[in-house]
Amino acid sequence: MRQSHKKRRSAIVTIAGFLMGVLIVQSVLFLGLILFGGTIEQLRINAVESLSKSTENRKNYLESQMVETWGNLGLAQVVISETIKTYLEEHSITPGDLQMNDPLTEELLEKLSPELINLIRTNKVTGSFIIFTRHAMENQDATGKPLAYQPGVHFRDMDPTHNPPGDENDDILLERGPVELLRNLGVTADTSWRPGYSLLALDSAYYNPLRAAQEHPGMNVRDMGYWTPLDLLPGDSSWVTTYTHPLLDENGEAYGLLGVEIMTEYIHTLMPSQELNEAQQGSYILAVSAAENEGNDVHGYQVVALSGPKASQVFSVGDIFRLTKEPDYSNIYRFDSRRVEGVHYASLHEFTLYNPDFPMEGDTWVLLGVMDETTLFDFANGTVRNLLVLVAIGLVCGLGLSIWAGHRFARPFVQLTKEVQQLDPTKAVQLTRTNVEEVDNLAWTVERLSRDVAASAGRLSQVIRIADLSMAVFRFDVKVQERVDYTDNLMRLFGQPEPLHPLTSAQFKAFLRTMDKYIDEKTEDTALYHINAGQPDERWLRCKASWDGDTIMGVLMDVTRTVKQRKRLEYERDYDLLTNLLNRRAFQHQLEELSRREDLGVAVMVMIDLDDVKYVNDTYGHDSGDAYICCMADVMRTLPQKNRVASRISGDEFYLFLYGRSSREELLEELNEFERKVDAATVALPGKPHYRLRASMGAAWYPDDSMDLFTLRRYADFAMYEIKHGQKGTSHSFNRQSYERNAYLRFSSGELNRILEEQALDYMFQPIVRLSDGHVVAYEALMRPRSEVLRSPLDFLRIARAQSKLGEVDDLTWRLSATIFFKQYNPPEDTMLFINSIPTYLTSSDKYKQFGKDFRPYLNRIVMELTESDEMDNDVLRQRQQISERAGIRTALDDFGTGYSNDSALLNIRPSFVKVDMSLIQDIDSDEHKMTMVSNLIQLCHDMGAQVIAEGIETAEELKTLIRLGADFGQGYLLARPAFQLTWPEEGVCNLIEATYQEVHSEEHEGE
Amino acid sequence: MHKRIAALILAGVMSMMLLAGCDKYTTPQLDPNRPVLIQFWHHYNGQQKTVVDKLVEQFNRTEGLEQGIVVEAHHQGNVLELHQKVLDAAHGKLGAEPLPHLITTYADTAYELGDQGLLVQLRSYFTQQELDAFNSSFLQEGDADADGIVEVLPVSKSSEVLAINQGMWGKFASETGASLQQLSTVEGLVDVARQYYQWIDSKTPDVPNDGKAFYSWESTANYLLTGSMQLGQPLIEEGTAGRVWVNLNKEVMRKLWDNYHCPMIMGWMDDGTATALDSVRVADTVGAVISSSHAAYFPDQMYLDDFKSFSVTPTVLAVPQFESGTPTVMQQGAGMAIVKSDDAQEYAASLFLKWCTQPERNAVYALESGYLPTTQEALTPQALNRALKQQQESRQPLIEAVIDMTLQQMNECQVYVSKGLDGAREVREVLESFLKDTAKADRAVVEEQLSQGVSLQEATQWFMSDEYFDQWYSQLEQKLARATGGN
Repeated sequence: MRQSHKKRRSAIVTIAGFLMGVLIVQSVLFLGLILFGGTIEQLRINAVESLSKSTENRKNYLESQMVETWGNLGLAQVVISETIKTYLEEHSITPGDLQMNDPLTEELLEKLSPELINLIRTNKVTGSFIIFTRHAMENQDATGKPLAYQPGVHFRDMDPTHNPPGDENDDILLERGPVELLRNLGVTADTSWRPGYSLLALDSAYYNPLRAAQEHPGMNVRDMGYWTPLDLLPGDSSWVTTYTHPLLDENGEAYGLLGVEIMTEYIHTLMPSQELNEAQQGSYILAVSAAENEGNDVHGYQVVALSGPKASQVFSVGDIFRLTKEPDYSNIYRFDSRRVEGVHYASLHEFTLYNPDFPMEGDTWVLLGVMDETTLFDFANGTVRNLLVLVAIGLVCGLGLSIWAGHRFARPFVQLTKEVQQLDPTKAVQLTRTNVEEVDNLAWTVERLSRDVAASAGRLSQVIRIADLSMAVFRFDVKVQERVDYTDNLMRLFGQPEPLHPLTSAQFKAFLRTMDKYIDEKTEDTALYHINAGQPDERWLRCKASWDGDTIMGVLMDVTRTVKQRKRLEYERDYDLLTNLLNRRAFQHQLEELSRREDLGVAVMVMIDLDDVKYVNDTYGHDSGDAYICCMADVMRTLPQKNRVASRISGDEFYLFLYGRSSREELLEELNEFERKVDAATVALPGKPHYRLRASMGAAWYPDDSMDLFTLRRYADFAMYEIKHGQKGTSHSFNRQSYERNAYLRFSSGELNRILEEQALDYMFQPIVRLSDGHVVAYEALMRPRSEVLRSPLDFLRIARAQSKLGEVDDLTWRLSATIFFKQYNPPEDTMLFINSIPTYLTSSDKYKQFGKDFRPYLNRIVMELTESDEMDNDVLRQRQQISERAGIRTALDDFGTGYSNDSALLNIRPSFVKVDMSLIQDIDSDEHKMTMVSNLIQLCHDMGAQVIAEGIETAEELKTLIRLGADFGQGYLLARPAFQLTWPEEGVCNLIEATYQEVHSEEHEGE
Repeated sequence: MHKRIAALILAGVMSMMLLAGCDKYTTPQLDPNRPVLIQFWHHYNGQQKTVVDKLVEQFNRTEGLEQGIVVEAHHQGNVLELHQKVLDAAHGKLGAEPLPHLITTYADTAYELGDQGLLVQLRSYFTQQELDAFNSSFLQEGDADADGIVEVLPVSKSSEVLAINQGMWGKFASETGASLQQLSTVEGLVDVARQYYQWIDSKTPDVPNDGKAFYSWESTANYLLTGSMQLGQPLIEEGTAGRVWVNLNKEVMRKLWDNYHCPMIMGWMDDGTATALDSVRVADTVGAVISSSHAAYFPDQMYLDDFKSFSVTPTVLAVPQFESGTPTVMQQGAGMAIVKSDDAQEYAASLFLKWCTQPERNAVYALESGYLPTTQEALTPQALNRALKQQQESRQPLIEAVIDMTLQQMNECQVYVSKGLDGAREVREVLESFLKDTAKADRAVVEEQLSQGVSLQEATQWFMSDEYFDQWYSQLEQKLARATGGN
């Protein structure tokens, strides 16, 4: 139950789903660990630290460049000071005598020039200079304009990394220097060349060292050096940073300056921003603290040099910007957002340029490593991004792989399933090995199973073939286009050639449709094929199909024998054996058929009662009687076959129904002609070559007398009885007045009532003998009315039927016969009583119950004989039988083989006994047809579990034949006549029976 | 499954190959996040270096940033030094720097570089259309190794002009009646210089021989090369297999000698201790025959001494021609060449070159350093005018005059272009220095003798003699033979 609620899922989905689940869980754990485990934060810190480290390294480099290389003036200072001192002494002049336009000064500067150029080379600076000046304020007028040039010389090398070979100074430009110097030195003047310096008081670059010397005499010259962040030579466009020392005389008084300059453009090349970020998103900014400071966390700075395209786009040398301390990271600042777009971080590192003990206040130099937020945290952010992408790719790949793995896992199964679906179940299969152990085991199992199945299927075909059963079996699925399985004789049975290829279900259905034209009969699940009709190998095939879901299973069986037999039985059922006219039952059926038609036109129903039959029989023998009867039939057959129904319904009674005529006159003429023929007809009897045929005929007209054919028949009966009771051997048409005068009824109904009232019914009992030992097993009760008028039981019953008294007759028969048999005669134990019942009428339940009470001990010994009647109703019959059987009363089918009882009744009623009509028993020893028929009948009945009673055995030959044919019981004059007492067969008869039976069975044993 | 994946990969590879196949030049992929560093060696100094640095800086900030290219410009001395350094680097000499990726060069001095296969053929990275944008004759000069294939992209062109200090000239002319017309010929120039020397000398009658030089000749080699052309005897010609062939003609050389050596030893022409412009700056000379690019930096002030200075108004004149000769002017072209390296760096260098030579930029930067731009579009008067407007206002008239004169001369005169030939560099070195050094030394001797009281005539007599010339001439022959490899 639970399983039916579960959804079917493919292995692929299950496996893929499982793998995917594992992957997702792993991914989530992985992501969680990376994202929230502090890794990303650490990456950010690392990024900041990396920036800080790079900046610090670069700062250290620049710092060492400034302090140890560029600003290392020690040696030059000594040499130059010495040179100046010597020169001054040589020419007996003091530093104060060094003036512009003074040849001595010019000469001194020229002497100093190589040393200065050398200073450029050694200190790798972009320029070096000497200025002779004593006081800051001396050289300007009241308005602050320089009064005159100060003597000095200033060389510049724009590219200190390149030094020309030898002593050539091609790359040196003269920025400042006397005209004579320019003339003699051979150094090219820069476009901004001036003969001397025009210094301003505010040029702290120049005056700070001088002031220091003035204010702190005796201090180390080195500590008087001063770094000027930004300076610009008048007329020049290049910013320079300078470092200046005072030149001191022996008294320690300053008389000039020695300095180097570094172009900010050159510093720029020493700050490769790529080292911060390869994509040049980073920048270095060399800056000095600006005067203004706002609060603790905001610092103002001025740009000295910068590198990196981004910084260059925003700032120029000399610009002032502000930084705010970033609390989250140490040493990190943020740019004032007013100037810089977006968030930019700066790692700030201060320079140590001065001796800490140096009293002169210097600017704070800093190097900033700058990077925007996105670039700085690019790796961290990129890691997160990559991680997500990676996980996404992983999931996608995983999904693909999962599905693939699922497929791979399921493929052997799918392959196997496909193979198994396509295989031919009738043959042993060989399945492809998948090299997956479990699947191969399964395949192996399937193969073994299939071998078994194939073997058994083969066996089935083989068995069918060996057993020579004309039978074939097929099976196919309607929905699936697979091949149809059928045993190998199917096509042969159908008389069709074997197809070249196995048929699919659709092809097979089409094949079956082509066979439709042979279908003879068809019910819901059964079809009867009539193959090769009229040819020697004519045969019938019954195909019975059963459905199991979409699968159709069919059994095809050659039923030629059965059908032929049935056809014959049908004929025998419908036709009187003697006359070949329709028998009673067939006539009844025909009337029913005709009743449904409306084009009967004018018709006539003629009841013919053949006179003198009993007389002929008794006088000339049965053969003559038969000939007499056949003669009547022959006359009837002279009428045109069309629209004629001729029937012999009992020994001497015939019905003739002629219909479809246009007028009563025409029909009357036809009828008269028939009458004349009857009158003219003779039959040859022993000693009487021209014995005349005599018959009484009563006719009723359609539609004049009645539109109902059965009423019409009753009227014809009536008309005939009127004749019979009047003048025999004539014809008479139905007369309504006469009928209504109730002449006949008046005549006989009184007698009927009397009989019923007085229970004037006697019962004779005729023994039924077992044909193995001649033992009497049962007696049949035969009704005999005690009446002069209605002496024949048939007449009595006919009147009772007409008066609707059959029920009463039936009741009476049961009660009387049982009473007489069981209570008066005291029959031996187990002797059964056969009672003729009139099944048309249901015995009222009250009376039936009463009977059951009264005869309870005997009920299982009572056998109810049923005969199909005119108004036969199988349902009534069956109902009656069921009620009886519940009480333990068994059933016998009476008059089997005549028009009334036939094989359909046999099937319908399933009686315990079948009584074969005497018409079939008579002369059975000499009539092969009868013999075959009875033999078949006995076989059929035995198959159905019924015992057969042969009626009307009159000769010993007949008896012997019947014993040989296997009849169980016998009844007839030879054995015992009916009597108003219990009789037994004579001993001779018993001996004959026993002997014959022994003979037959010993033959059988011998045969074995 | 596997087949399908394989097919996908195959299809991908094939389509990539197909795409790659579409492009005639396989353009290497540049990554802005991993910029390519381009070492650019140049010979510019002073103002011109500033211009170059500015240009490089601008490129790095803009185009370079976008494309992923960083250009580092380094001054490497003069062109000859630069070439030597490249050769040293190429030959892996001890202490040599790694090879640069881009260099400035003159086509005629780059023979060895080209011949040794160090230079990239321009058409490897420039489409024909891109090359067609350049003045075709400028472009043709870029064949450094005389193999018919252009390696040097012309970025700027210069010629020579005679620039004079209008103030000083005016004073002199008004007193002596000299006319500018006289300065149109070499002979006239020498004569005017003589007059000027004497005019100055006459200012101080008590001091003999204290006249001043009137002019200087910046490039002696150019003087000799254009001079011999004017006189009908091209000095340097193409020999066999791309080798230089010196077509020395004594008669022509004598004339050249006479108009150079004589004025120098007589003091009429400056000896070139200070540069031509510095001599003007300190009022040692009135003018100079200088490269048009240098003329743009003609001093705006002249200093008589440290305190006395006057503003200078320059006048730009055509280069003096020999009277009887065919007017010929020198056309020099600073060009740039890509040194062979890897594809990405060559490609990056080519992008920088293309960026530098976009007409607008080409015009502005060329003019700023007194050069003619080299693209046809930039050479149109309109483009030049626009570019001129972007220069410093004070310098505009001078630059305009220089450019006008340069264009005028190139249009009116025969243009002498030095060819890139095997040995041309060495020959040029000889031409540049030998005559000048001889004259300068001789002048020093003369001055020495004059200071010792020897008369001018006496002091110069020997130097002016045919024998002395013959002696010098044979030395010249030997020097040139050595320079050309002994032929």
